[in-house]
Amino acid sequence: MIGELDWRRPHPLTVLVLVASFVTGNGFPLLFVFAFGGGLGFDTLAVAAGVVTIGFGALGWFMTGYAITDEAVHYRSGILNRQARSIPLARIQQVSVAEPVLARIVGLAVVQVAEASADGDIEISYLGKDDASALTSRLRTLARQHEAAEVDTELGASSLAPPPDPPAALLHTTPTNSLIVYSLAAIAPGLILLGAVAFAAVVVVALGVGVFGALVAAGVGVGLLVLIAIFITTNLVLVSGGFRLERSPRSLRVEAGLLSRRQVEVRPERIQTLTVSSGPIVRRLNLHQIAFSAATGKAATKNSPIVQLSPAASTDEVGRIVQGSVDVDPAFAVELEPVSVLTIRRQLVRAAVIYLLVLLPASVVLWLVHPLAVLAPTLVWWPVAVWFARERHRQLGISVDQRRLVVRRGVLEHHLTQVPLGNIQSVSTRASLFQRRLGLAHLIISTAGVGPSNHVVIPDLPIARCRELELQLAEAAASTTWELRA
Amino acid sequence: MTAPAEPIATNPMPSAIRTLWRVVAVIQAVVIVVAGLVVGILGDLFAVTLALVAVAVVFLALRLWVINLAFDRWRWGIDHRWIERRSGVLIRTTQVVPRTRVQTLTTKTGPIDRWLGLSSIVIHTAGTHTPNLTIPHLENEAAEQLRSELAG
Repeated sequence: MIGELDWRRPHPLTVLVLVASFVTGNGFPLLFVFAFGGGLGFDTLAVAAGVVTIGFGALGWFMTGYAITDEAVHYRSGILNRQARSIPLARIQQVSVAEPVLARIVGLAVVQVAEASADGDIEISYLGKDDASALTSRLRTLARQHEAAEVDTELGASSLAPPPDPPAALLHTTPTNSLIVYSLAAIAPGLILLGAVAFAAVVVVALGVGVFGALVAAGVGVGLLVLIAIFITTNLVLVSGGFRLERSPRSLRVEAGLLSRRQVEVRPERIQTLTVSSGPIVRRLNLHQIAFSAATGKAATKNSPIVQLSPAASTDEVGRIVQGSVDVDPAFAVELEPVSVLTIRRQLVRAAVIYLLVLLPASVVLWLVHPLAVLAPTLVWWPVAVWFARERHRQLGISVDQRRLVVRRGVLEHHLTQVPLGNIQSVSTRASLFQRRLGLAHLIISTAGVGPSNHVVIPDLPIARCRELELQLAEAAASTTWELRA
Repeated sequence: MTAPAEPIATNPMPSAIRTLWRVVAVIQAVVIVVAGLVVGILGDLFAVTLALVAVAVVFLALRLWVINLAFDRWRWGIDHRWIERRSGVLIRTTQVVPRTRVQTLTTKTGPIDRWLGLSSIVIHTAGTHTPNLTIPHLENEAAEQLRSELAG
């Protein structure tokens, strides 16, 4: 039956992108053959490599096809290993557009159709930008109509085409300068720490080799730190630049990227967890990151900014964005229940283990450099470890009500995560030997989300409280049936 | 309906699992001894052979001891709403999965499993973080019963 479909081919320029991505992917050896093959007497090899590359590109384009029927999206590809996939329209979770940099240069884009299984995506690559956006909106409309028709059938009502969606309202954009400020502020603590370690090393070098050597080492160190800062910031700006979040009545649309641009549409009810995070300096600047984890295919989460509602937003904006996106408050004001002070003891036990295994041997080595240096690790480590343990305990807090679980954690970087109780898939506890001696355990709450923030760990709860919460959350999870199209 | 206030993970593992773990431990110890013999004979380093034999003996003794502890710690259970598993010697884990959240079931058997008449059931929920609850090495009959009960 599939053979009778109205198969369409991708845009012809796809050949160019396929060849270019093959060359960049297999880069050096291939370029070497192209550039020097002739000179080394391997003319035939160079020509053959060129012909084969272009041939594979052309064949790849020729053998790829997509078709849309009243029932499903079909896609087939592959030269030797042929693959065919179909996603029924009613199963479509999400339709998104991506513009990888090579395709963007020639004005092409990829349309990604995701269903709920982790490997179920169809990626139609590549289409002209206009075709891509036309196909995207057609698929979104078709998916919506099918869903509405199914609901009507279930309700026994007559099927009516849903009215067209009103245009999406812009909820949030992140200006590039706040991205730069955010990035520099976010990496500053790490750089300061690295700088402190490097400074200590320079002092040691100065004692051992002399002042000139130390100055050279310091110069190299500062240069490296600056390079790291530039690299990380540029990367963030390229990946998250031009961030836009739009809300239509049924879905959220996230768009980001300066070189490779991606646009993802996600239904608010598919969002499984929501986390607002901020580092120590970022917080002083009143900036936060809002990340979510959604129950969709992997295409949505391949690129991290797409699992965000904002890469940098002020407290007020966070409230507005979260409220506008998922109709809940960001849980800033929720009163959190503190955890047992035993967590401090557990953290100090961990600090002691690291001290014995790493810092004590390091002290011995330092003693060989200078007798006074032997005290440095101990004098630095213990105040930091004690502060860290107390701060970790101070920040840890949980709250469970009828609707949601809220967890705050983190020492330098604070994370405030909320999970609607109906999204919980399973609950587990985990207790190491040290934890058991203190009567503590971790509680791990898993959701159906895909990606890094799809689960929540509540560390070091007293075992009785852990068991109580485990039962309460598992009870909430069991009382609602999770459905693919919630 | 209430949550499982009492642990429902009360079923022990089949005692054949101890045989399986012991067989695996012996195989690993034998591999260490053989490696020692190869080094000793080819490299004329019989001190290394002796050292590796000692390592193998200590390893085997420890493993046999831990196998008994692990066996005692292992419990699994299922009722009309929950599947629960408890395990671990040093790090102890409890997993609770509501039956409404079960997405797929997989049955697995390895060669030694088949010889002992055992098979493992993997219970998947949606999502990608530790969504799998594995009840390993059940007697075939019990595994089949569990599978049909969960699938039904």
